[in-house]
Amino acid sequence: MKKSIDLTIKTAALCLFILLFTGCKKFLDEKQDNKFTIPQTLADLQMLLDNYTAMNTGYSYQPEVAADNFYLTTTDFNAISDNTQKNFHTWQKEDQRLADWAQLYKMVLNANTVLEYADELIVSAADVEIAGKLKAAALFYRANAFYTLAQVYAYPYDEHTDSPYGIPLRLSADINIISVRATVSETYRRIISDLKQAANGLDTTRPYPNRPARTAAYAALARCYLSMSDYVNAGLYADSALQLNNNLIDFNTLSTTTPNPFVRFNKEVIFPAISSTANCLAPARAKVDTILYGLFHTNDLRKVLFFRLNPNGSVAFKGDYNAANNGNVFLGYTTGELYLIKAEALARQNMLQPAMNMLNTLLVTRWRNNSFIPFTATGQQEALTIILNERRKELCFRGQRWTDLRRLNKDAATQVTLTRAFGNTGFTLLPGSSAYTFQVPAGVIEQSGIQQNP
Amino acid sequence: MNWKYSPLQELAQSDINSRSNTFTINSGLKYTVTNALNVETRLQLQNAYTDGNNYRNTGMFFTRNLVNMYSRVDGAVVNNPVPKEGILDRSYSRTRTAAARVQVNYGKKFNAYHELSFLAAGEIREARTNTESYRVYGYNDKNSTSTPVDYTSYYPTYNNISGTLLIPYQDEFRQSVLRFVSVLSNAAYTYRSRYTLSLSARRDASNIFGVSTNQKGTPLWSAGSLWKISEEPFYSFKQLPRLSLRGSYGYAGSFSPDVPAKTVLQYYPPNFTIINVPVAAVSSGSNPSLRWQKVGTLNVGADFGTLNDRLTGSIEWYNKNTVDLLSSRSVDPTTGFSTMVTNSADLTGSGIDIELNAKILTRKIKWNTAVLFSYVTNRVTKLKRKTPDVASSYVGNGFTIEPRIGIKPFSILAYRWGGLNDQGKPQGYYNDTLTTDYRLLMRTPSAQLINKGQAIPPYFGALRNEMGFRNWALTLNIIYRFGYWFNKQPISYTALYQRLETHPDYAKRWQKPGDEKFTNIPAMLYPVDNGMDAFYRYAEINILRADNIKLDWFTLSHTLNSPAGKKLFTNARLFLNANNLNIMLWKANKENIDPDYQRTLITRPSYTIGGSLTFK
Repeated sequence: MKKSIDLTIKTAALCLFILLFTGCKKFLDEKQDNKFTIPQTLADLQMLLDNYTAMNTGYSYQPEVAADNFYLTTTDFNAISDNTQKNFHTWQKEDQRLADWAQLYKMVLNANTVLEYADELIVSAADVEIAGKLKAAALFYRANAFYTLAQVYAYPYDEHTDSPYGIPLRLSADINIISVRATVSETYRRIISDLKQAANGLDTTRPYPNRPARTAAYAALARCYLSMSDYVNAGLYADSALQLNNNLIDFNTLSTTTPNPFVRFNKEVIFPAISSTANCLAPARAKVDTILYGLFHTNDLRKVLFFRLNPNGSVAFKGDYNAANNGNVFLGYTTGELYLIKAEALARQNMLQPAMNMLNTLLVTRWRNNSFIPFTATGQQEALTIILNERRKELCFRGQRWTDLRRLNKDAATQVTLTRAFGNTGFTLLPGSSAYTFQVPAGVIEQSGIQQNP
Repeated sequence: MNWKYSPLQELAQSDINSRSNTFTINSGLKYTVTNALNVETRLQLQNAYTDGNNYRNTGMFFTRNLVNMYSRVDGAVVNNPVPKEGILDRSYSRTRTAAARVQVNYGKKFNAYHELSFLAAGEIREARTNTESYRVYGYNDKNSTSTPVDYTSYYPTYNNISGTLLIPYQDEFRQSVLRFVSVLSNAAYTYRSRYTLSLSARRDASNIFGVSTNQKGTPLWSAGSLWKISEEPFYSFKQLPRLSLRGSYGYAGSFSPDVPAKTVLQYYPPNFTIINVPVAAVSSGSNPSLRWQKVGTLNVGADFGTLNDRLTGSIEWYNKNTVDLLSSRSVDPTTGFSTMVTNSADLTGSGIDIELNAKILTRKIKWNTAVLFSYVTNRVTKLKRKTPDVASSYVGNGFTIEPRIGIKPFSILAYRWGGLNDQGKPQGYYNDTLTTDYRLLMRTPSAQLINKGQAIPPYFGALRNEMGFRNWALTLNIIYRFGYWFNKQPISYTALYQRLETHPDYAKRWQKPGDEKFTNIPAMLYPVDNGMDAFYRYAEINILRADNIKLDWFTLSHTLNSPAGKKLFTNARLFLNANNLNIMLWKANKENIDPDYQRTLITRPSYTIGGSLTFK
């Protein structure tokens, strides 16, 4: 009896020692927490891109706060405790808002993580195609983030002169790489080439509304070329996108009385993107610019679908394509925007009738049934005036006005000077002002040593 | 339903409870091979269960708010996607721990001169925790029924206060496994029972996440020596019959568990985003250049005892060198991260630990006192990454090491205080000039900041008194900490306007010109400037001395001896133990703030009453 116990102990001890010294590796490879992982499958990477909060929201609110779609009363202006919002609204040099820069570069990091791991994680023949599509989507997200950053922190694009004030183009997830600013033309060249590559790899359809399809890459190319005043390419890519999706909602089918007339992810939405939240943008404070509101004809349904009257006669915006209206704006791609890009591109190339046809196709869905009289134009200038006017109306509170101002201010015919007044203090933003480029957040300058905007 | 929040009613209606059970099985076997050699094995199995319930009936704001938020009024009909009943959250967690240890002991005295002992052990441990939690809506606690809801449709919120939302889905499953493997060995050689040399080495490894296997093990070794002076033939100091000297050097390399070198993703459940698919986020980034933090410790000490051990004690001095300190630092946000754990500095530190035990009374009344005292100091010797030299990087609570040469780690740096101006605005100094430009003040170079001292106490210890009389014994433990500082949380007008957060200083604020002579509490100004709050928060007047003396715990026990003649048991003991008492005996700050619990709930004291019986 004693002998057998001895033997058992000896065996147990021996086993444990063997386990300790040889089986260690496998024993320790078990995951510590099954909510965490190092990227192991392509599905993990897809989950990273599907993170709607990280990839589709938090785009900078600054362009909308600084643009001329809304005004604040002096009381509401004073009530804002966040000085950064006040400074953006009055075009002061402001470098204390880090959140948008951080969020947009987090998108870049997520995209770079996918680009770096996708090929490594291919285990079967079928994976090759999946990895390719993941990389195409990642390139789209990255280019879209770069484009947004360029509208906020980089000088406007100019085909004749380059500027050193582009954005840092981070193309790797390695945190040890030092950030440096690319020039403006390098920035746009990278955005264009990434988007073209994305368009090649993306599917024409998408299973979830948060993801980009090929249409989104074309739409982004159209928007980017337009901001560069490259109207030929802008028109071509708007056309490519519209061939894949030209859905328009007949606004006569929408209820004019509900607080949110538009459904989130409606059929006009090609890719959803939402700005970060600024309390001055909330409908309770942001009063719609009176000139803008005055542009809408009584028979234009957008007058009642986009806006509601406040008891004191001022106007609030309610036409959010994200169906939320709580201090942020929808700045994703829609079919409506593509019609307008195509129309403008055609008019710029003096193809006036096709341009007007394009515009009228959009507008007939915006007006009350049987009330719309199609627009006609006899000269190029008249056509452009009509189209830009309609662009202003359709894309108000969409974060696009700022980029349009940067572009249109280059032409004496379309320049505008913005003014605001609070109490006895007045503010003016002149065309071509350096205030059309926001300051890089101080936290970034301090940590990376990159050059601040003048 | 009513949409009001009534704090007292909330308290009365709340029904939160949790239960836990723990079962432990211990077993051990010892096998003696020879007199000098034996093998021991030990096995421990433990199962612990916790379940929790949080039932919120329709009387509670949480439930009413959710029901109302999703309600939809169609004419006279009110639709309630979230049923008008209570909401029950349940959670259940189970932890199974298994640990096994094998130890080989060898000890032999060869003759009067040589003695050798050796120990080798291997230990393996696993703790596996499974947690499940879920929520049911429309729960009625009287008849234990619930109602299903539609988690997949978007509902417009009442009056569009939050756009369109899904009904919150709270079901979650989680599993975590912690595994440890250690191997260790000690060897000691003693000559003439006076001189001892010892060597020890161990390697600990665990399944710490994201670190490749070959880096998981952290090595540790030490070498030491001991000299029992009082055993020497020449030793003749009768008042101090016990005296020995010791010294050692140890070295350890470590990776902090939350510092993976590879990219780590964290999964989130579908309800994390409005798309309703599971998603992931990068929780920490890839940092291929991460190195082990290495610590070398040199230790010298003496142990002594007077006649009959009336006074015993030890004194120890150590020096600790840390190379490649791992600490969380702010990094360029362009990387996608705002902070990251990196090898940021080299530190050197030293300290003294003194312990004295005195038997003051040993007769009818027994009284023993133990005094423990420690002093520790350290400084940064080398900086591996630079922090921007602006105030906003350095001011703070001192909770983080922002290493800087010449400044002790965990120092609290603060803005120089320039009093209030005649509008009640706090003023600071930039280049020795008074200013209320708070943005400028946030750029103050660190050399112009005031270094108040460390947020961790350099002097600390305890005083323990054990008193006995007949069958009664009382032990009191008093702890003390000196020489450190804390940041008082002052009034914030941003918090007051935004969250109606009140503060006792409100009544003492600046209200009219001239008040600046009597008060340092800024005026309530409108519009609110959050820069003013940020400056005031970290101004030197809000850095207070944290020194304190507290009664930490006591134990009162009563021993019963077996009644004469009846040998039922050898002895029985009853005790009352009070922990976390947190009774402040003295504190340095005049504002009556407990630096450990500033505007947070105090950890409640725990009381244990118990008894034990010993049988022969």
